[in-house]
Amino acid sequence: MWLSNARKALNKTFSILVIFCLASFGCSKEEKEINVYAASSLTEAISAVIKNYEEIYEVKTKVVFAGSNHLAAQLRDGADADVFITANAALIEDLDFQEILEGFAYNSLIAVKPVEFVNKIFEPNDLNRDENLIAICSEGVPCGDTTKAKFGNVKADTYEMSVKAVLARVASMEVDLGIVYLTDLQNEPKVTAAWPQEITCPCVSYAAASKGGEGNDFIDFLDSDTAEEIFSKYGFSL
Amino acid sequence: MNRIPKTIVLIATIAILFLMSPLIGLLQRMPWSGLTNLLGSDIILDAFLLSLFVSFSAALVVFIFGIPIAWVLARSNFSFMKLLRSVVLLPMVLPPVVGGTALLFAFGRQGFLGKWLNDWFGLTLPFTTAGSVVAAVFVSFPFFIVAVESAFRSINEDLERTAETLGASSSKIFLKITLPRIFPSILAGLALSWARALGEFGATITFAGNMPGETQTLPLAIFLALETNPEAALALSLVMIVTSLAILVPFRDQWLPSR
Repeated sequence: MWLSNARKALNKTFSILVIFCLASFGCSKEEKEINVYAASSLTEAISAVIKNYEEIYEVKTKVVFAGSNHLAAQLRDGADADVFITANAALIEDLDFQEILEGFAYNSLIAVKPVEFVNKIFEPNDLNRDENLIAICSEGVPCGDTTKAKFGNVKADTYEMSVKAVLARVASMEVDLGIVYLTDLQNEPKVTAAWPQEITCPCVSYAAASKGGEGNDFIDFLDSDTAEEIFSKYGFSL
Repeated sequence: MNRIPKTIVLIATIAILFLMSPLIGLLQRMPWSGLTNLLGSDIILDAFLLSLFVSFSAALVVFIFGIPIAWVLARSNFSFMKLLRSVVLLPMVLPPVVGGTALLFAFGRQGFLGKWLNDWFGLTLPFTTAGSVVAAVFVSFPFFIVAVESAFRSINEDLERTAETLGASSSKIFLKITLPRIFPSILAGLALSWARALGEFGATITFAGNMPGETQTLPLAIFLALETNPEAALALSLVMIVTSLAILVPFRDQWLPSR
């Protein structure tokens, strides 16, 4: 509460400064600002999108990355976001957002192993064997639900709360196999595909929601050619 | 009895209200009507039993190894004792997640000790209940050591010296004279470290992972449920509160004698 009061006070000070500024030098207009809450699997891509968006729209953007469920819980508890980008569209339902854009990008899942395990040959059945240490996402979070839809019942040894945690387990060679997003594979040189795999769905489908104003511009921008180019560069399907 | 100054009472009241308010908030949001259903679910029962097992095993390990450490820290005067004392207390200040990562570096499959455990004995601690106990022991050790070390320091050594002059062996003195005198502090230290082990989250999830029935203790189940099933998270929290009160309240008189 005091934080939002402090922010209001800051805004007030800022407005006064702007008025002074306008009166004395006629300098640039007050900068607009939006808060974006985005699923952590989009970290690299959304950061790149925001960079472009800020340049084109001259809007300052603050972004928070975390698991979709975690962000949704924070929003339910009154966190202030103009845009919410989630890996599970259902999470938007009981939140106070107006415009919604569904399926602007998709992320496929892939079974991976540590790069150093070059001599260990795995096959799809290894996901159901006890001999291997396996990390997957927990059910209930988007990557876990999609893991179940695509790979069925995996004999996992640990159910992680986020796909980044699964990735870290594989990268540090604490487990033999993990199931992560295709996009993570591109960003983590210490892991590699566990066996040749076709990139097929079930996939995670991203959805974005906005509270109006500049937020709507941001959502529209997610559908633009510039953004699409960025998403495919980082390994997302469109 | 001295009268307590009003200012003290006021400050204490504020502090107590502060400590109570999250508890009130929790109880106020508790889904009382659906509670029996929630509490009967397998996930909650598994997590509850596992938490009891892990926390009591950790307390046992801490008890067995903690007394000798506390004794050495209290009674020897080497110059590196100060450093050693800080090292022993480190888990208290270290963020548990860092502690868990450090445990992985030591006892993980690629860790310098874990590699050896794995090659020689085929033993892997992460992703096992034993790993959860290791994480709980690591974080709860200092609480026991601090309590017992200060007790060793505070007791007067005259009685022991007398026993020595009467010809008692040093192990007999320790068991028959020293240990009984610091018994209340041992209980206090055990209660504190048990409670810390019960609430342990960060080191456990980092080091031991999260697997229902194996490593998913109550705090881990609560964390996951908070994001996916908030009502179950509240029910789980209630289980934790009731469990810890049930264990700690009867013990309280042991370490803080009532007047």
